[in-house]
Amino acid sequence: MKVLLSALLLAAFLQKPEIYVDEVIDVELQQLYVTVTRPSGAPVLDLAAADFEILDDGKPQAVSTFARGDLALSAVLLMDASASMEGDRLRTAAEGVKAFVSRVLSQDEVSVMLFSDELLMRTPFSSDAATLLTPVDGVTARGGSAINDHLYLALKDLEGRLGRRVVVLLSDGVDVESLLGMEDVGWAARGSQALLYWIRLQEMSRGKIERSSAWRDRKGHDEQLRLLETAVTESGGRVEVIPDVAQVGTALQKILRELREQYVLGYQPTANHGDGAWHKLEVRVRGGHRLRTREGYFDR
Amino acid sequence: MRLRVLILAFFLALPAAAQPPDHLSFSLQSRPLRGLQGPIATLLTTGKEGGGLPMAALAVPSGEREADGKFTVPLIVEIEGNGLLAARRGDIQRVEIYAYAMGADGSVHDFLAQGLSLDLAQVGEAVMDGGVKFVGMVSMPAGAGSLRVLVVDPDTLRYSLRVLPLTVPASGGGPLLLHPLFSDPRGRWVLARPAEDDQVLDRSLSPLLVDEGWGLPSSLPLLAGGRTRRVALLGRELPAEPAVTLEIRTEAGKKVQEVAGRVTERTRTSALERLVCDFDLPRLETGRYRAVLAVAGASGRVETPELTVLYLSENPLNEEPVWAQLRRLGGESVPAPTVAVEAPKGRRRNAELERLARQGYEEALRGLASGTPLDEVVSRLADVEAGIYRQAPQSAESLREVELETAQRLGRDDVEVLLPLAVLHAELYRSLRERKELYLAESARRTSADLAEAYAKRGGSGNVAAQALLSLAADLLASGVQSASRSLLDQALALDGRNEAAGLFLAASHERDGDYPRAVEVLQRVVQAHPGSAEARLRLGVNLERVGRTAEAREVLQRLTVEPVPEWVRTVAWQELVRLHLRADRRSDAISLLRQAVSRLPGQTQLAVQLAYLLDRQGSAATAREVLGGIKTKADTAGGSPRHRYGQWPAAALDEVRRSLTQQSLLRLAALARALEGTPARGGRG
Repeated sequence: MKVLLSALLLAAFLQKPEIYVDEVIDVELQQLYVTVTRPSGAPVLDLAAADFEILDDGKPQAVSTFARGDLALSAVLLMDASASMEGDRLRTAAEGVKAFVSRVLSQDEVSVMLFSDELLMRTPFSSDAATLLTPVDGVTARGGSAINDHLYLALKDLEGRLGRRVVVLLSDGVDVESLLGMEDVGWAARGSQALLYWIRLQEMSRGKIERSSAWRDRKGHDEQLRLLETAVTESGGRVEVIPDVAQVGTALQKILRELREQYVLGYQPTANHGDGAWHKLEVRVRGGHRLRTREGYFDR
Repeated sequence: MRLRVLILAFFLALPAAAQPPDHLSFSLQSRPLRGLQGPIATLLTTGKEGGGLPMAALAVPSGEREADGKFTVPLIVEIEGNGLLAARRGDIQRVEIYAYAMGADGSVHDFLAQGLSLDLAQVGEAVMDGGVKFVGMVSMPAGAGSLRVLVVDPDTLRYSLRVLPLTVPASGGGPLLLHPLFSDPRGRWVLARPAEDDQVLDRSLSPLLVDEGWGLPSSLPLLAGGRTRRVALLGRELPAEPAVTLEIRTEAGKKVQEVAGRVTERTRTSALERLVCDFDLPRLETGRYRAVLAVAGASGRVETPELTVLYLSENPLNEEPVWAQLRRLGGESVPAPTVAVEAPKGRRRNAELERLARQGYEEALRGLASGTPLDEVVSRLADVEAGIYRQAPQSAESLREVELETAQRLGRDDVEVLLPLAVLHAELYRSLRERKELYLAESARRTSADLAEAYAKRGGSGNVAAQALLSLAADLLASGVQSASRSLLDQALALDGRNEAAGLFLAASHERDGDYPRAVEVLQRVVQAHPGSAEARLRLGVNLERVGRTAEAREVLQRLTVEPVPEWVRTVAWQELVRLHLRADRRSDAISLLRQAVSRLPGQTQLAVQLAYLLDRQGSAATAREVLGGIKTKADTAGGSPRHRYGQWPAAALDEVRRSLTQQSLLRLAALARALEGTPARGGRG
């Protein structure tokens, strides 16, 4: 797959982690964002390129670029503003988003998108807190929830953007009204190579009647939840379950910190044919650490 | 051993979550258990059955063999909601469920301890209407033993203990037939299960599901004479050409009747065979019996263990829960079943409270007749009822009787008097529900339905009575109470088969339960009566596709895309037509159709999203982005997306019905005033 590779990769071997985009070159490159932790969950921050091994469809690959640090982010914060967020809950969640936005760096670009069964609000990509947060105040939570449709929209918004592409979904995960299935969005997510994080609000679903809706029976809903979890895991992101909307800020900051601590491994695949086939990826690390990254990519 | 049991129960409180297959279910908040209280622990260790909480339990050793050689035994516990919530006015009802798997020698093989917290604001009405059905599991070795099942209300220490004799069959031990599995009507229970061990529990429950695989079996089946009843049987080494029989026995074990059944399905699930059989039930005197099913063939005969059943001589009008049927039958006329259902005791009516109730009720009616706004009347009446109920919680049924007697007296000469009373009680139900007076609310709801029914039976307008029943049913559906609301909707349609809103509500209710064939049946009748109903036609088209009648679905949906129907209906019709193409793998046709739809309905975001996705899939990512570029935010749109509108109860039709009902009620207030003038209040029951 053609990836826009910035000069940051040349700078990536430098000790200092700040990275700037100077020019864009077009090469065949796969980039992997890798989170490494100890069994206790503490991040491992002192690894070198030689500590990693990449397998593409089982074939070892040479690590051609390696970095860790503040690589520019292109992120969409996708917030569920359906009726279950009525009252102070949306405002509380927005406070959490504010804490996240205040920590984005000047090279980062973030868009905030609020949805229910319809698109309620979408900001342009920006690193300016006022641009990102002011419109949120004007939104009233209401209606149902169409997660799949809006997750697809977020992925399309990230298409072609530079830097590490990330979608952070804040929702209980119960999609009722989407026209797209999560299997469709999973396809789009695999193609986009964006990292998906899902802050799963347990509190939202507590007290909500859980049963089959007019559009899906119970099994259908369970299957959609399972596919959403799969898409998140496949992307190299993770599900952060929080019991209370007041913890949104903490969860977002944890995700931001994790993104800042990720390793970025690049390699030039040795057996790509541009045939659209799915390539399974495996990354190994020395030292018995835990590792998380995306599980594969389409050879397009 | 007792100490061990107490400590383990304390530490092993499982979290509760609700995720049973295809049932109405609610999230239940988990809560750590405090451990058994002294006297209850004593009961458990002695194994003495009893207690006042109405509860029934069923354990079927159908589970798989585990690594330690034991077998998983799924357990179903049903707790009757009305009894559970009796006299409760708080926001939370707590329940603790314990199950101890005992060996024949008294040893404890395994146990389960589960605390549930029911948020009554969310599930109170549904619990009141049916009850809580809990599924869990324990492990037991092969051989004879028993399960001691204890349900406790930890706040009042009310409890019920059942001991279920159980023989867990060893692998390969010869012919075998497990307990018969009778289905429950859909949406009857609020279901809860432990969140852990999902897969093992799911696998163990899977062979138990009856009625097309959606329902957990009933632990206290209700059989009705004249009906056909489906039963699933699980067994081993069953005859090649089996003859199945259902034998009904008295409590004393005397054979009452035996009927032959029809085997409609035979399958194998892991180590067990499964027969699904239909029985045409004979008419028997109402009461408690035992059922034994047998499978016979050339290779021999094998019987199920006995299962207690309740039998109604007549076909019940509706599918109310067993317990509700019991209450409706008056309790004392039905022998108390062995499963610790406490039939209502003979109530001693309190004359002073009844006088107060009658006085308060008639004052409220006078206020209503003289033009006092309905909400004021309702508020005062709710105060009166709540005050009396607080003094004597057992007085709820007396209140209802007083009100029904008064209504009967007032409506003796002019049936039209009953309609404003039915409307008053419907409003009272809403008010009491908001005050969380669930017992009184349920009573008000039943009174309203009874008055509407009586109004129609005595020559009042069937159409208006149907509107009253529909209005009540809609409230119940909004609270997640399925079975009682369907019953009201069936009654409404029986009174007025052309009531479009009642048909739409009933169909939508079946649809939400995933019962698409029934939804189609109802919708076909609605469309026949109202060919111009765009919403009914849309729902019919969607559900026809779901039952595989694709060509008919396409025809219905296509018409909706060209006729002058509301935009949300037309949009969903386009969306579903596109999905028909996609299911038939005709992606280019789908894209072409979507392009038409997007150009005709440019404001419909989801059509654009679907078009973009399909373009993406065919490799036109840039065009897809262009399509999405036109999407606008909709912060101010009322009503929501077309798919959201479809997923809501048909509120527009209901608004119209309620307006009409209010009008009809107002027109009859003069009749109520005349009745009040003509029949002075009586001082007592006389």
